[in-house]
Amino acid sequence: MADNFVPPGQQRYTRACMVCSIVMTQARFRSEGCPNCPFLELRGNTDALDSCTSTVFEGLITVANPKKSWVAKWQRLDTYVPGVYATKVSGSIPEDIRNGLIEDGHVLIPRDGSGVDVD
Amino acid sequence: MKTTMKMPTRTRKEKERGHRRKRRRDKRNAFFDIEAEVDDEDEPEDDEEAEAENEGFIEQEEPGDFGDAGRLESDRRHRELDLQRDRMNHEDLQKEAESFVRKYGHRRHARGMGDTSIVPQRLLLPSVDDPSIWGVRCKEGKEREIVFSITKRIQEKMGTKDELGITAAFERGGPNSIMKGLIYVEAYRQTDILQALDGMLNVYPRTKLLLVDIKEMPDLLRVQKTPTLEPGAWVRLRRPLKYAGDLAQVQDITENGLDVRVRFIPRLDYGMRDESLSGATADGKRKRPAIGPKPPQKLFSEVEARKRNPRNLTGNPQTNVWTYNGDQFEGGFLVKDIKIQHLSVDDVNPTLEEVTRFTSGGEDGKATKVQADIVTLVVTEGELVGQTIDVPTKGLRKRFQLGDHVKVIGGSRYRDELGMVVKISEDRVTLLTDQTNTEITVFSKDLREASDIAGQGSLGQYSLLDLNGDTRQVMPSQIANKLPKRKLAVAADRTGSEIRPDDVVKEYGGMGRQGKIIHIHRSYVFCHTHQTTENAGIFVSRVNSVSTISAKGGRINAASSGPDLDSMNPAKKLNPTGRNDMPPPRQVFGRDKLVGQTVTIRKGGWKGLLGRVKDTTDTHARCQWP
Repeated sequence: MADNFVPPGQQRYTRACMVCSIVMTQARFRSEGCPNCPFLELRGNTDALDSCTSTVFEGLITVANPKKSWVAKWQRLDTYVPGVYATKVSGSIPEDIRNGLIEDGHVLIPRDGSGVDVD
Repeated sequence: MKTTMKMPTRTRKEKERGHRRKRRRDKRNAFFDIEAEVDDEDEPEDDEEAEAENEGFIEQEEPGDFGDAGRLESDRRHRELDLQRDRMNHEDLQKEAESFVRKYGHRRHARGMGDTSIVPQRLLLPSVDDPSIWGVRCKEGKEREIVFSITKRIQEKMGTKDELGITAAFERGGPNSIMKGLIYVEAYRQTDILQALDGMLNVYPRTKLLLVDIKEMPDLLRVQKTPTLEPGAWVRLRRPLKYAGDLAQVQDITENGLDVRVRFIPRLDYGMRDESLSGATADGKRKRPAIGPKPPQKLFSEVEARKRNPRNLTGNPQTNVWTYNGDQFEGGFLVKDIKIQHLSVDDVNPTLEEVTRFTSGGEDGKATKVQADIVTLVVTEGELVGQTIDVPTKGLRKRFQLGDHVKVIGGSRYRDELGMVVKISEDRVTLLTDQTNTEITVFSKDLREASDIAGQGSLGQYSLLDLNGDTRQVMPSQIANKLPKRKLAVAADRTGSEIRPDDVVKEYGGMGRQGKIIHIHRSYVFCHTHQTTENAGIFVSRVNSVSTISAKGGRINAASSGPDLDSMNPAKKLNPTGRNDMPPPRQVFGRDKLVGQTVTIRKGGWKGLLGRVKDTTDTHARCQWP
């Protein structure tokens, strides 16, 4: 299992994926990409990393068992890998990337708190 | 037909039964209408038997009933058409399904983008089968660290015999959160939490665990969208430290909404400090934040920069855009990309002085339509005159004309002041107040056209006589609230008579003023008189130095009405020297009893002499001794 622990000294370098809200260090995003959103192709792609992940996020969640956890279900994390996620990720994916994802049939859940009222 | 005639009231059970049979007796369906189909209130318990009976009956009846062959034929055609339509429908659906597969089929590769994302959140509300959530006290500010510590422990114990029972843990801390000092752990059993957090730093599972009510669980994870910044909005800087707290105006926002281009007034001293701050110190350590007083806010001066540090200055005097020490200056303002977390967006409240230093232009118009935040307006002045434009309310401000009568509203210390507009400059309006005839300057956003005029003695909702204790100059905004008139206030005047508001009283002694009581406060009465104009005819007096002249509504005073307040006053009872306490001298009629008595003189030169009283007055006795 991947090491999702980030020591306190490294926590200032964490970023959150704007699609799945997983929180990892920038270095890990660069070397491994996003474990839930491989279609973002973040691995080694600094530009994509900058535009699809955010340094502004709040409300950390550590998910031990995504299948059983209600928190994970509520956050729509139940099909993701265990790890650390954020309840809110500020920022939005650039329009062109977003449109591309929607065309490919990906359903994007807003992570920045917008669209909550729609539900 | 037997069945159609019956037309029974149907129950749900019968309906279901009817449907079941419908499928079986497909052929004959066309001859039944729905009501007929469900039938048979008195149907025997044994369905099959009854059916057999029915079938036979109907089969026999059929030819007789529909002897007309043409009618049968047309019916057959109708049914054929229906079938055909069904088939077509089916093909369409199949096609559609295929297109869905084409569209979404490969979603399986993209993990996590599964069906859950489409399920609306209200269908995901927690149930009793879901694990519970407990709140656990922790050290404030350490919430994130704790979540990571828990992550670490989860990983360490994963797959071992003491794998953690918790399913998730989260925090909603943050500098402005009300949920700081708590982390929330989701588990089926409380012991799982103790096991997971035992011995962990900064978190206190031994204190009382707060079980979160199932209804409140979604609230814990509620997120609110940070309002997006619009160009032109005001923010305050947190970084760079030199500018912490300074006002800045948003110029542009990057697409991801995380970096904001702002402009603000630089604090430059063009001296050595700029240089020493811009580079790392010789030993390569991180530079310390600037200590000591900040340089004052001043627009960028090309001349100053050229004089002190020409090598670091590049730019274009035409456009007034300069680069100095790596910073860009436009029109004297420092323009910089700042990360959104280094800006404070809420409670900016720019003061008049600060905004005065920024300038901006715009169009004038009259609003014609308002829809949510968008205002449609017809431009009456400016470049786009005559056109209709849609503008978000944020981009609008009110305009006033000279001479308008306005009232100050909202966040200014002049709130509720009324006056006439005498000068308008940008969004700042100077008005001459009705009350004091002084000029005050406020933002146009803090004004509205006034319908009420502040005349002498009344000021908007306050009339002058409302309350005037000691005379003191107050601004309308300083009046917190109009005191409701206390109708029930009551006091006793110097004779013990009850006095209430609206009674007419007169001062005993002093200036002997007479007036109507408008307010009673403890042992003071506030009276209004027409005899003087000083303090608008208001005077204050102690209750025990006024006497009642007339009571409102002819209320009868003193002894006859109600209890005697004096007799109930214990203070007066304790003091027997009071005027009223000496019993009046007894009225003596006829011959004094003392006359003829033998008395001894107790005092004076005749002390000790024994004699007989011959005559008496009120105070003296004439005595005689042998």
